[in-house]
Amino acid sequence: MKHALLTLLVLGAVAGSAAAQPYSSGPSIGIRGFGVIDADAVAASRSFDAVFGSKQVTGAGGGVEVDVSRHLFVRVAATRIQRTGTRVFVDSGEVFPLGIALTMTMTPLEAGGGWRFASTSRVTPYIGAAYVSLGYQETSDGAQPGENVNERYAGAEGFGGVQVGIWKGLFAGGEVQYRHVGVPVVSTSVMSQFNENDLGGFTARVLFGFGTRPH
Amino acid sequence: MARAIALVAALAVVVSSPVARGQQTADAPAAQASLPVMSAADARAFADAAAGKLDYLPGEVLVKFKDGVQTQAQQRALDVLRSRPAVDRLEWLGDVALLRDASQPDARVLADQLASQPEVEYAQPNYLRRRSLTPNDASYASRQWNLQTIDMPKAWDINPGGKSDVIVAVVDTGVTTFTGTLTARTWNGSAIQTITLPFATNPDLSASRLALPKDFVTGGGTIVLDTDGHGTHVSSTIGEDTNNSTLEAGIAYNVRIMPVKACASYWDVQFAMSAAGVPGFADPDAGGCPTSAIADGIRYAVDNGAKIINLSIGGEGSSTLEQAAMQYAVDKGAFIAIAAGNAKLSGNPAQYPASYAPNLAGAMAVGATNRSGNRASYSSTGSYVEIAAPGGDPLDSDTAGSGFIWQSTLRLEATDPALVLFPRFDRYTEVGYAGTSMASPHVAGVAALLYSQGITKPSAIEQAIKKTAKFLGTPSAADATRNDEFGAGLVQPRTALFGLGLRK
Repeated sequence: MKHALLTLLVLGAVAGSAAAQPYSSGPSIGIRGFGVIDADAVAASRSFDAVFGSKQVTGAGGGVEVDVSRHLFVRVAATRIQRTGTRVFVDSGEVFPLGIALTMTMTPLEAGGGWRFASTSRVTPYIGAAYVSLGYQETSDGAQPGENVNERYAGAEGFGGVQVGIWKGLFAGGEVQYRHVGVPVVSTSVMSQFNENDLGGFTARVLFGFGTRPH
Repeated sequence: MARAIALVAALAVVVSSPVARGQQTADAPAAQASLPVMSAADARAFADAAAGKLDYLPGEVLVKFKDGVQTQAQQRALDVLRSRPAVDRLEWLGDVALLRDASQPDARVLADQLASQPEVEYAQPNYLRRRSLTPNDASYASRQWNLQTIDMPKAWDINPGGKSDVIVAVVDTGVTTFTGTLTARTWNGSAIQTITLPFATNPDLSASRLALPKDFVTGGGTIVLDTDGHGTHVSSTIGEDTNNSTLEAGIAYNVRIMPVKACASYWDVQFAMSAAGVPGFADPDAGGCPTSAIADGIRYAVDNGAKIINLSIGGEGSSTLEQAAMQYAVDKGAFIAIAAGNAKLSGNPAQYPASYAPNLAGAMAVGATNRSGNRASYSSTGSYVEIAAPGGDPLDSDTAGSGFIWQSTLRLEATDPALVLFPRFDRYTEVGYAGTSMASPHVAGVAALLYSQGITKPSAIEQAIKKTAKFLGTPSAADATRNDEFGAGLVQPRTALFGLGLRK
């Protein structure tokens, strides 16, 4: 994962260098690499709160955007979210922590695109949507064969944000996403106890990257 | 012949083993003190109940007057009885009165007469519960198949024995808390004789793990003496010392055991009769567990910190007093495991207190399975059976007793009234028992582990046990999650302890 992100950033940097244009103006086709830090408020809030003590998780990753026209762009990105909590028992909504460590790792892969609005300043707003492939792993202390989880689920997201040119090819930005990733209900799970079957939710994202954008 | 020799050799090894003798404790009362005995009237009541094969103590009625009924009105209600007992003769158990009327031994008649009075909320005989076991005196057996069946080693990987601040109350014939000798009087076949009785604590249940003992039967107060072995065997399943190369293993071997003596044994009755100068032997079936003592014992246990209670007792006849005590216990946060009863082969009548369990969130009636994984032949069935656990089965065993539940308890050869005139209660060994009495403490032990793990509400413990049970048999037409033989199924401690993950 780290290697992939680094590659994306380097590609973005190289593309930006190759463009060799100030951020305020550039070619009609651009390419940008970026890193992200995400703060997620998961839809399965009660389940996450039961296991991790909080419905918020944070992740990090990166991606690359390619402009296919002045306004239209495509994007791929990947992030990694990891959190350790405890296995629990749930009875009529009441949670009893059992003190058995459980580690969850989510790796959403996004592939989509969006529309960049015209702007005469350094600030460029955009909206978009993407297909999401969410990798989900769950490991517990003392788990027997078949008791850990390693699965992948499909979903979708919509997003919107702004990018701000800082200097030459450098930019930063903020973005909000709503993601829906429906998962099968497993009767012997915390999520089934709270009737929650969505591993998506709202994400607040901070981006920083390097590259060009068309004018 | 060779087999007989092997059996004798095994016996000899056990008898001569130092662990067969009780361990000494530093804080035993002075030797040669008198054995505490119940009153002569109580002894007579137990003896008469046995002689008449009654499931209640003759002439004893539990009466609850309606709220606001004063003394004068209470007397008016009592005047319906032929003996017109005075209200100051009542013995109060909280807000329920125990009336003894020797002129009318049929307590059902007394109860019916009193229940018809407008001042009375309810009146019931003081029922006698019985221990739910079939004792075995096999001399040799293979060891604890029961713990393997429910995969205890994997459960111990998650929770090794529970926590010492968890108290499990065993409301039963008691667990001996005293080491030393006491004098008693007994019948020697031709005369009443004074004898010396040696007592000792179980060498495989450390005295330091016994908490706040109480005797509600013989007047022993805070000294509890098991003169039967049933209570000790049950306690051993719950939490016998483990990993000490001694005798057997228990499920929650770090928790503390609260001995609550609510059941009188044959010897309790015999010693009381002789102490009162009554010649002769007590009826072999003398003894039992009055519902008044059970209710007192349950309340005492909960009020003194017990979080798990085991009731390996049962009988016919509903007792509101007993049921109210159980409700009090779960309301106070205690989980109760109850033997479902051993009456399948004798008509399968509903058993109490097991029948109260479905209406008490946090109390479970436990049926028994045998070594083959089937319902034990004797195990009562019915809509009140909620869970199953190993209980052993004489009909699914070999001559060595391999199908029984083996735990440390008093040696039968030293205590069985059919074998000895002068018993001794300081000899312990592995003994095989079978019954829902043995199944219930498996669930009590698992409940103690779950409480130690973090499930600290009795209703949640019940749900954890039910939802992780291994289904056995055929689903009931009315409820596919259970059946009348095994309830939700065979208890699975490791699965219950492992709990739930986010996705699995």
